[in-house]
Amino acid sequence: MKKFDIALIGNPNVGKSTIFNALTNLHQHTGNWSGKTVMMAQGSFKIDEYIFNVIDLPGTYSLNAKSKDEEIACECILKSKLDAIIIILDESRIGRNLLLALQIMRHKKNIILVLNFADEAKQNNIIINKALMKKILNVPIVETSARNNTGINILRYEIYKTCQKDYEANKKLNLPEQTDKLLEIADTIEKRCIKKNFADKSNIMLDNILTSKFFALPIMFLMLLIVFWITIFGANYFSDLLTFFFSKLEIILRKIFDFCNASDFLRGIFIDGMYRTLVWVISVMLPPMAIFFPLFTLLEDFGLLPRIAFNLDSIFKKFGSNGKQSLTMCMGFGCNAAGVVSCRIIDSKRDKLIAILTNNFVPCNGRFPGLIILASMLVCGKFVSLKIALIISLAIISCVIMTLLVSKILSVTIFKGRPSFFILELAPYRKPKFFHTIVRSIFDKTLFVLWRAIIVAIPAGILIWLFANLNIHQVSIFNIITKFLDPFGKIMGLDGTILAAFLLGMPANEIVFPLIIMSYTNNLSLIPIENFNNINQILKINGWNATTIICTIIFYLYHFPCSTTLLTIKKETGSLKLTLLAFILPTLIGIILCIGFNFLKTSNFFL
Amino acid sequence: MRERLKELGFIEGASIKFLYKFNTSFAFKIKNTIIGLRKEDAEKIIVEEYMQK
Repeated sequence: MKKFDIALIGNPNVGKSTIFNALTNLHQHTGNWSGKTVMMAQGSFKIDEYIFNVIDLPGTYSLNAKSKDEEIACECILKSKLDAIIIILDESRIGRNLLLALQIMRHKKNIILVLNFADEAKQNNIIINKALMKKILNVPIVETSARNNTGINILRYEIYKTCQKDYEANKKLNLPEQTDKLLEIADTIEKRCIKKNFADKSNIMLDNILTSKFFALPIMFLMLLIVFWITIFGANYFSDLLTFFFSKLEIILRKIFDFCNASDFLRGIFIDGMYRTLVWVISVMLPPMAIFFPLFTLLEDFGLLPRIAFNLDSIFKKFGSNGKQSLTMCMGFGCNAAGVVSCRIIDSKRDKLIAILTNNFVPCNGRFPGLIILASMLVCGKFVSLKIALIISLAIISCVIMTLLVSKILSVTIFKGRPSFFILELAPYRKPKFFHTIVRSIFDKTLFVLWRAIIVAIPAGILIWLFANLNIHQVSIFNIITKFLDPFGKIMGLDGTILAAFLLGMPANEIVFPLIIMSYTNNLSLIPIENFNNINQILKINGWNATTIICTIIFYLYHFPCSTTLLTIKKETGSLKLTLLAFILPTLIGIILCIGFNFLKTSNFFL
Repeated sequence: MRERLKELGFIEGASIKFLYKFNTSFAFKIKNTIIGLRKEDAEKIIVEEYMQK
């Protein structure tokens, strides 16, 4: 089996991923987690006995890399050994897209040009003289409409041909290096090859509505509300199902352990510790993510997201940041680690770092169940659901305000003087491939959650079980920690148990609340959700009052990022200092707010 | 930023058209693409008015 390596590259928004999906079908995986097409996907397809490994590089405007993404793309093209380079262009916009192609042609020859969105071009009355273009550029040109699956087989064939060719003999095109000159050349080529003219059929009307003074904000707000609604309520059903399934599985596991005559210790570590934690993380984390992210991706594919960033930029600018931060914040709602990764869409380095550092102020999916339970404890009487929704909304609004405030502070202190800029491409509205997007997205997210559950939840589960069950002088390690933190906790309006739970919950926010319950009921392991009926009783017995609930909510919103997020921050920023800052910032704010609220409440300030 | 603008097509001789705005965010059409910029950055781009018949 002969193997070939090929790469897909092109400007953002040219439909690269759709072509990648079409070429590889479902023989693909994502190298690293991605919530947006900001990471590389790899896949392959076969023709006869040949295997073609395809890599989908991040969208880039030119080889002069300005962001980490573009760096990766350029490095791959220029340095790695590739048998073919597929440059994808938007057939209606080759004047600009050709810049990248021409730059690559200065260095490489094994190139195929793909003119995608052929259907759109036809609608715009654009016809490209492919033969002429091929003659000028001396590379094969394939016209495709990836959405409609046309031209893909021709592309595969061209790839097959190109990989077989030997390029040493061919002459390279003699091209200048400067951007201006290349653009002029691109322009000339476009003018020569275009047979008709661009009749703008783009949906300006939709843009006008979305950016109109009256409708813009309400529409965006409504959209987000709907997404959250579907996520939270859909996730509930799904979570219950998973919990049910896993508890049945646990019974089987226990039987197996009994059958093997396993020691209590082993049973404890594996089932009570590892399994329970693993199951908890999966059943809490997976359903909301499996709903939220596909929805979000659909919005992105449709083209709505840039408009949101566009509208919100004026506000974010006042707080020292960038409109795109609004998008990363939305991602953060799904998962803070994902939110941090999504900050790659921000090209301005300063704004990007600010967005990364403040991402944790937005509560992730893992924190929502806990927040909802806490909120439900504060309300009683009629209209319970509505009251809970109100409290949660208030919480989220405070998070957004906090994000803006902290961004402002960061921009005038640590990041003072660094330049910030905002450039955004508002791609045309395109109908997303629903089925494909949703399936892919669910696939991706499921894998991510499972991976995270394995890497993070399993060791955490073992550790927690050990802490709860290993005794030093008759007292479990967990209780030692609890006692130690108690005085400090009390100042914050919490107690040692709650603080300990937060600390041990660092690997995954989902386990904080169960840890609290576990510790109070002196259970030696996390208990399943069904036993949550008498939570109110349990907490009251342990000294909880309204202040405690509110302070817990506050700390739940403002505390250090989970370990996955911290690791991601370290990877994205490359700086230990910044990661430390990301840890301290929300924690400090949470501590101050808790102490403040507790003080005000207990000194009867509010009376 | 100048380099990035160039790559997007903001070079001498290119035609640019103002489309819409929201507060201080402005949207322009250049080379068949819509690009969003901040008002203060856009003001720094020198444009010659071109009247189309």
